[in-house]
Amino acid sequence: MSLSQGGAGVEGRAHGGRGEARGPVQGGSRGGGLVREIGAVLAKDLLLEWRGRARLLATVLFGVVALALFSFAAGADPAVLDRGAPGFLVLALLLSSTLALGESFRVEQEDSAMEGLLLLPIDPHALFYGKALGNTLFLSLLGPVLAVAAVVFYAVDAGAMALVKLVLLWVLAAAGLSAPGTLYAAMTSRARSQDVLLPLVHYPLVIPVLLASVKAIDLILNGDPMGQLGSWTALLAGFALAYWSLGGVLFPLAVEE
Amino acid sequence: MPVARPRLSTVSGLLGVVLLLAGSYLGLFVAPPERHMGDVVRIVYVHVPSAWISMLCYTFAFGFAIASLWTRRPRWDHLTTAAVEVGIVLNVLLLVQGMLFARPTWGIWWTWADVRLVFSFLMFLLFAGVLALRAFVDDPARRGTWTAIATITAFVDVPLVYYCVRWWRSLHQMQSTPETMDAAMKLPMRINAFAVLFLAGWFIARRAELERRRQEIDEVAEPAAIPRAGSIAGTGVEA
Amino acid sequence: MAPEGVIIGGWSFVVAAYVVTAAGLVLYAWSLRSRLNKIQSRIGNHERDHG
Repeated sequence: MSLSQGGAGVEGRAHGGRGEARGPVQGGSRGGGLVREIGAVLAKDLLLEWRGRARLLATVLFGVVALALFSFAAGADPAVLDRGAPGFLVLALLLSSTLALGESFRVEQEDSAMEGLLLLPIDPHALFYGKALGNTLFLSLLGPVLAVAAVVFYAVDAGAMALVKLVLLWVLAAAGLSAPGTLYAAMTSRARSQDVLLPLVHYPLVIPVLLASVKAIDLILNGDPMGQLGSWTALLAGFALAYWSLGGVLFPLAVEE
Repeated sequence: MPVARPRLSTVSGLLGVVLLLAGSYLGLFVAPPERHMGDVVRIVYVHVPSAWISMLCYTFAFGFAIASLWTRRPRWDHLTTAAVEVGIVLNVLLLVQGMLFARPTWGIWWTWADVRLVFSFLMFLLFAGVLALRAFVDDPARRGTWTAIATITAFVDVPLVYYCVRWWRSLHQMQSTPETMDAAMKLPMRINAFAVLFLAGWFIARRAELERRRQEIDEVAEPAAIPRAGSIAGTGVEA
Repeated sequence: MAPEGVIIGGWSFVVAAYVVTAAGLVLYAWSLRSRLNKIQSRIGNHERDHG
């Protein structure tokens, strides 16, 4: 429901953004304009996502398939599965993120939509933050689904409180993956062999996200006797913060013609 | 400058070779065996310099990448690529030396429990990605911009990866270099560090020159292959 | 009278490490040289054909 509202707002917002950028005092009114433009880009992506629901469902399904595959690879021993659950969850998120990030720019490559977007007087920063927010949102949606799947597949014994923490942490991990992922997907989508290239450059970069979220999820599910959850969450947040700022600086250079 | 630089780099290279021979001689035959590690400690005299200079090359690459984005002069792009590649070469040597050090000291070739070993492997993956990305882009202006962006992005990750791996393995920390070093051990290490530094300088200069010539010949040979208005503007700046 | 915990021998690993390092550096220098030569000959060919 909110999606369709966002969709309805696209045109109005996009026009608003255009007016802002064209004005001579772009620097002065930038704050409000930027937020509105980010909203417009985000709304556009959500609308596209909603119209292509099959793609959305396919990515979620892919995450579930990955989780199932991990249990086959690890064997049927419940103790092993329980111990591996945090890692499997994060790996499923990472693999799905590759698909989601690649898709989010493949859409723009069709019909040279990216060139069209860049011709619009929209701040390229808005393009980055809108895209990255869209990807974060999308990957965050995977969290609850995969968490439920993990509870079923791996017999994870977690209370309601732990699941809530898990979902919140998942959002932070999704944000950490999305910022560098959006930056790199913008580049690789226009290079040769994009499907090989994106994971090749993205995975080594997000190893801190992988390590920190596996550790943090492990602490959430299996208890945190030494109170380490805070530092791992801080590391995740620090990573996300670093790349959300860096991506904003570098993305306009990455997409310029 | 194009005339003077190869000469300077050749001097640097020769100096590197001489120093490396001298430092290695001291490290292999003059320095005493270490109290716990015995003769195996001699690996450290090439291992630690490789680590230092590899990281230094990546740091240079970061600086060159910023200059490349700032000025848009292709020279900085060539230097960025050269520094990343030389950093990777030293990084690979570092990894092999690390494994040759791990085997006699811990009885294994590889351990995820040693922070430095894991960290240097991740560095290799990070910067190898930069060169991989570069290899898949044809337009020179875009290739330069993207190389610089990827280098900066990878370099910012270095401290994050380091702390992450350290916390991850904090309970299994192993001692991988001797804590106390007497002067006889410091000297070969320092000499070798300068040796590798001079060699790296030579390599970077030659590699940048290679990249410059490659781009020149691409521009001469296939002027029709430039597809976009943006890249024509880009090459215009370069000329 | 080696004290306890000292690693005895290991010279083969030390030699291997130095050999690998030297070989790696020489190989890289050689690869740079051959790549530069290749480019040089391409420039030469081009000038002969078009210059």
